Amino acid sequence: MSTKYKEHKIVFAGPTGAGKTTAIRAVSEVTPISTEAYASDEVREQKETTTVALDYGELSLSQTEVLRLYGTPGQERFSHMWQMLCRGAMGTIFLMDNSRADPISDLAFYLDRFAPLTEGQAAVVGVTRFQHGVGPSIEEYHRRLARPTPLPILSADIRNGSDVLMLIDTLMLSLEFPYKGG
Amino acid sequence: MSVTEPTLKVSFVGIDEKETLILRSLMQFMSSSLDLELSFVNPEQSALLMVGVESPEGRLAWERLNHGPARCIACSAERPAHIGEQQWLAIPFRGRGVRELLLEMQSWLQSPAAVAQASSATAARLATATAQAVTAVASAPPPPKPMPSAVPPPRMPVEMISDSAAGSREAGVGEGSVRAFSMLRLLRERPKIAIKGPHLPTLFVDRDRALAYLPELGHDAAEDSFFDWSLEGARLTYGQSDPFASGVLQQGSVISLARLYWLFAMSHSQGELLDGLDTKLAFGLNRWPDFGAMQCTVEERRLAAVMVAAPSTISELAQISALPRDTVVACINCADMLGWLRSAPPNASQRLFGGGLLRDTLSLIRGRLGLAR
Repeated sequence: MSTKYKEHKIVFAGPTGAGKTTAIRAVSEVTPISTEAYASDEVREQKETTTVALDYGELSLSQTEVLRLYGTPGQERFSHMWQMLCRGAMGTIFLMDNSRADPISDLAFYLDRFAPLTEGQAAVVGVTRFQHGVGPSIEEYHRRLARPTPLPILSADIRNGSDVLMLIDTLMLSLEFPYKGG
Repeated sequence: MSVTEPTLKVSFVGIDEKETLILRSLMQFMSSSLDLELSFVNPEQSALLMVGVESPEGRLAWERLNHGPARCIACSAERPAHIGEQQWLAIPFRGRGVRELLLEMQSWLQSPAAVAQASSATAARLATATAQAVTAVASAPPPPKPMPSAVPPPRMPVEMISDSAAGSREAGVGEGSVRAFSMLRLLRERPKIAIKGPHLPTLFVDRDRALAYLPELGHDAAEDSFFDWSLEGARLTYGQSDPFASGVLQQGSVISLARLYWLFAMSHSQGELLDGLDTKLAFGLNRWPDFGAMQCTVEERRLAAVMVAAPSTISELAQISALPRDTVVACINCADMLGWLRSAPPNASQRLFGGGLLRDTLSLIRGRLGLAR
């Protein structure tokens, strides 16, 4: 007999190497499932393996409720997975690697591509590999991304579990207190 | 009743030039907020000897002077095993550690034992002991900066000076006592400012990069320093020069502007809104703060989220966030200085809580993640 769980879902998205797999490992109470493969393209220059389908972790909330954490593959050629993973999610945490050449354009790309997939959902941006004076500041992210509603953009060290919790908490806060203008 | 401040005679042995400069700056900076006067002297005259025990010179000095009349503090990257339980200060020097040391020395200087010790004729004994151990580091200390007087200096007007290409010139002087906040608020109008106080390292603030920078202090010392920061008598300059030129940031102490303003607002607001802000208004934020850089608590994040959602009155914000009114006021002041504040008539406040079902689910998740309030 199988147990029917009420599921809640949070998605981690962003380019290769931004820390999606690490973030899920920091929170999941089960050994995360990763579909990593040896990188065979330009990603090889950044890391040995890369996610090709999804990362998965979970946290049981009660006897009947579970929080599922999904990490999308970073490369656009796996973008068919994005729609599948975002369906029914509470929200998406976009992780951006601030050491990349143009991380703000990266973010603009992901926000644009995910907009139709995440309508009505919450979103938070975590800027990883953030160093003062190196790469764009959080102010520059806000300046260049003109958006109708405020978007949380937070610097975060994904290796630090408390920063992952901070991102999830912010996602939940933006669900609890939706923007009403004024 | 005497108002004379105790004078602490300090010297440095075996600490490299850069770290000595940082330690001196931190000590001067910290002492300005304590009832403590510093005097930098030769080791044979000192009551407090800061010894870099990783250098041969410092190790020799430590062996010879550790049990003498001067208080010796070992300074090194790691606590050396041979010093046992004796006091130690980590290199690179941090403001918090230096402040604790000075507080302790202040108490010690006021004790009867220290008074008696100070009057004893120990200089000759020390001089003999240090003759072989101490070299140029200690023999030619830079002249000490002017020390604060026993009576606090009167509030000074804020002086604004333009550092245009044509050279510095006076641009205007504030009238009467100008609150310290006014200086920081100026950043809304000026992209770059520098603040120089009578006992402070120069602070550079850059709005575009959202950074504050203390070139005179070691890496990461800025945050510690701002716990005691006072802008009394400080001078403000502004202009287009870029104190954050490439590469420079690695040499000084950098702090996020939002974090700096948040620390400053928390320590200086004292429950009062800044001039021009009406307590009857509803207050909100026009953007999300960077919680990571500001190191916000769970409750502070909740306060910010409520303020981003819609303007609310101070009492509503205190109620929803479960934070004291003073913290809410500090948050509003901080947001105002940063240019993130929006306000509205109080009747525009809206019911903010999400639906009951959603709230229950979020509570459940927060509980499991250890984020419960």
